[in-house]
Amino acid sequence: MEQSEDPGRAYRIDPVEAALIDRLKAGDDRAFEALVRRESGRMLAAARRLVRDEAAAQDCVQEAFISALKAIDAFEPRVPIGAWLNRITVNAALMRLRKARRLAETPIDDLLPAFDADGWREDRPEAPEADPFADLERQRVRAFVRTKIDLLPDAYRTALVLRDLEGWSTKEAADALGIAEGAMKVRLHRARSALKRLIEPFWTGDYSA
Amino acid sequence: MNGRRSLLESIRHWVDRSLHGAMTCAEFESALVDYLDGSMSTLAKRQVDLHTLLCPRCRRYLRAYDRARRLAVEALREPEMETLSAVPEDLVQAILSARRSGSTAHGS
Repeated sequence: MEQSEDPGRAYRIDPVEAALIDRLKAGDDRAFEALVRRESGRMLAAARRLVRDEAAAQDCVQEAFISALKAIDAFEPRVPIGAWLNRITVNAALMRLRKARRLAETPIDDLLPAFDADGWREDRPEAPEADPFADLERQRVRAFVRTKIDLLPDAYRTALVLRDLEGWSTKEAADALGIAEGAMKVRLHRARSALKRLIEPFWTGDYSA
Repeated sequence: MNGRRSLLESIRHWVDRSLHGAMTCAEFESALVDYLDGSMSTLAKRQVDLHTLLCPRCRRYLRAYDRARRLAVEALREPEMETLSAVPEDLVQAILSARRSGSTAHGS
C-alpha cells in the first residue's frame, strides 16, 4: 500500500509502538483493546467525514479493525499504525460510497467560475485583503463552513477530504476512486471552486446564507 | 461580461498576452491545483505568477480560493478533536466482540 505520510524521510518506530505491534501479532487481547481505544476516535472522525452517517461510519471503523487484524502479520511499520488504520478506514468508507453509487459526478456548473468567450474571468465579489474572520468566533466560522461542505455532492466532497484533509497524493486519491489523475485534479478543483462560491456570503459577514 | 470589463483591464489583458505570452483567466483556472501543489515547471509557475500579478480578478479569486481551502481543512478538523475524546463505548465493545466472533457485522 502506497503511503504519503512520510515523504522524503523514513518513519522510525518508537519502542512502545513496536512492542504493541508485536503483541498484536501474537494475538494479545489487551493490546488489541488498547489499540481500539486509542485509535477508534480518529478513525471514526475520518469515516464520518466521508459517509456522513453515524451508523455507517461506525461500521467502517469496525470493518477497518477486522481488516487490519487479518493483515497485521504482514504489517511493516513504515508509518505509524494509527496512520495505517486511518487509511484502511478511509478505504472502507470509499468502498461503502462506491457500493451506494454515491461517487458519480453530478453537475455543479452553477457553482463554478464563469469565463467569457475570450477566456477572461467574470467579475465577482471575492474575499477581502484582510481576513474578516480573524476576530470572530472560530467555532461559528467552522460550523458555517461545514454546512457548506455538506452541500457538495459526494464525489467532490470526497476529493476535497482525501486531498486537502487526509493529505493523500493526487495519484493515491485517483487510484482509490478509480479515476485518472487528471480527472482527480479536475474534481478537486471543482470541489474547491464550488466551496469557495458557497461560502462567498461569508466574506461579507453573512452567516445565514 | 465584455461590456463590464474596463478599458484599462482590456488593455492590461492584451498587454499580458501579447507581450508576455501569458495565459487567459480560464487557463489560469485550470492550472490552480498544480500551482498550489507546487508541481509545475518553473516556466509554468512563472506564467501563473505573472497572470496573478496582472489580473486583479484572478488575484482576488486565488486569494478567496486558497482561503476557502484552508477554512475547509480547519472546519473538518474541529469535529475530529471532539471525537477523539468521545468514542462510543458500544462501538469499542462491538469491535472487541467482532474480533472474538470473527464477524464483521455491526449495526446494519
